[in-house]
Amino acid sequence: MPDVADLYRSHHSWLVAWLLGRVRCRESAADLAQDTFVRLIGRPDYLQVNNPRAYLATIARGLAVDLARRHAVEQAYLDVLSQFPASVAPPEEERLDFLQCLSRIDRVLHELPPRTRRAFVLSRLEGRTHREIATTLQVSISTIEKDIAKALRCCYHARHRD
Amino acid sequence: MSEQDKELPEHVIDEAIAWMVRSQSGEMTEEEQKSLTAWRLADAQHETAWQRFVAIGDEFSSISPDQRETARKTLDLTWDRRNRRDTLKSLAWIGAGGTLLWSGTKLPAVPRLVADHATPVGGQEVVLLNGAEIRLNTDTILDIGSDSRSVQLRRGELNVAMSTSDPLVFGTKHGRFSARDARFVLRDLGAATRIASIEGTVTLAPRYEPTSETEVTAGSSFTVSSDEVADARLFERMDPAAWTQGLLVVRRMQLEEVAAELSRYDAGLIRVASSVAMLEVSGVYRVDAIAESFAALEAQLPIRIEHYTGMLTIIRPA
Repeated sequence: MPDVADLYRSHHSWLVAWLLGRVRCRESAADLAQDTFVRLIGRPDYLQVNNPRAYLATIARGLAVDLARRHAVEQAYLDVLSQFPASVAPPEEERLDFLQCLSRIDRVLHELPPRTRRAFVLSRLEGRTHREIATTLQVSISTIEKDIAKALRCCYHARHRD
Repeated sequence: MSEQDKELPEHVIDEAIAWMVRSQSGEMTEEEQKSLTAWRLADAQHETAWQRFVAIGDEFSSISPDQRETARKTLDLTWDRRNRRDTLKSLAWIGAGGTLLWSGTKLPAVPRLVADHATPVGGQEVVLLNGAEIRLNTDTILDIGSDSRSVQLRRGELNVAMSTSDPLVFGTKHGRFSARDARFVLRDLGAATRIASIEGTVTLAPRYEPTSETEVTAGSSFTVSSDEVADARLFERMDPAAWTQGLLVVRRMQLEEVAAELSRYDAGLIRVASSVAMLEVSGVYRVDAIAESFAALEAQLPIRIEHYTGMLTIIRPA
């Protein structure tokens, strides 16, 4: 039976090349390949996998999507700062935490419909009342309540079912 | 399985969500507060569920209050861009003669969700008014009547999506346009106003003769000047609302006209040599990355594009 070193030797350069085709950046591809192996050995059954490349590609694909999503958040953040000069930015040492926090929120909420997302963010991030959100988004309070409930359910499942 | 990961019955989750929604409403009564406490105490699973939802909220409260607006704008912008990209992927209807020119290196400009009704060159903005979503295109000025039932377009262009019980009226120098349930694009061309209905019907009443109304149905377009209403046949040549996606989509349109469209989004001047002005162009161009769009035109047509000091662009034969 192969051990992790065998897996690494047999598939690492293939994985880097495969990732390079997706992320188009040598450094990111190498980092992601590393992360992929770390994830792989975190799974109890990794040595019994029949087709290691398919398995690695599945993990790597998820990580590449995550990376793209993080980059999108980071770029949006930089653009917000440049387009709204009055924006309050976190201190440099907290910037990474701030962006990671936004990325986590994005990952959980991104599949919700736009209004549901907006309603939830206005509620949780800006602490607005449902009545205020209903006025802002031009829908009824009961619609807002359904939106918030839907978003809460989505957050819950992201944390406790995956 | 640890306590943390234990699955809770669906009905407990449902109840916890209902309580969480209520407690976040901003209008919870003291009575309800007591009921919530009683619910949490009634069963250990209730409390576990409740704490999980409190933890979800902690993700948000870890952002310090003065940075929350920045956080909200960042998320809005991230999601707005992602929606636009998904829309782009679905733009499959471009005819065989058209070219999809999309570099993907830079993303469309930000629509600001603030209530200031004038946009700079290259800007866009969304105004929400009584069930209507009004998007202002580049270089647009909009006034809203004190009754909130009428809007005056002073210059520029609007994309309106509305579903209201009472009609909302849009006035321009040349006429009045009213609708209830419609999606349309209204543009001030200077000497005339152009209306293009995408969904539903808009009623056009010319200023020179307000009683002679024209029904603008979905897929039709008209211009109204100080003395004439004419069929604009706009949809044959361009997608009037493509700019809401940061794009200019044209079919067999003359180069001169395409350059004029693109120039609206850029403060510089653009001149087209008359020998190439009539060249036919079909394709998709970016209105928020004019330099890229011109480079794309240059690759597509027998033309040469010269830029001077960033403020003047000249299009000549190659």
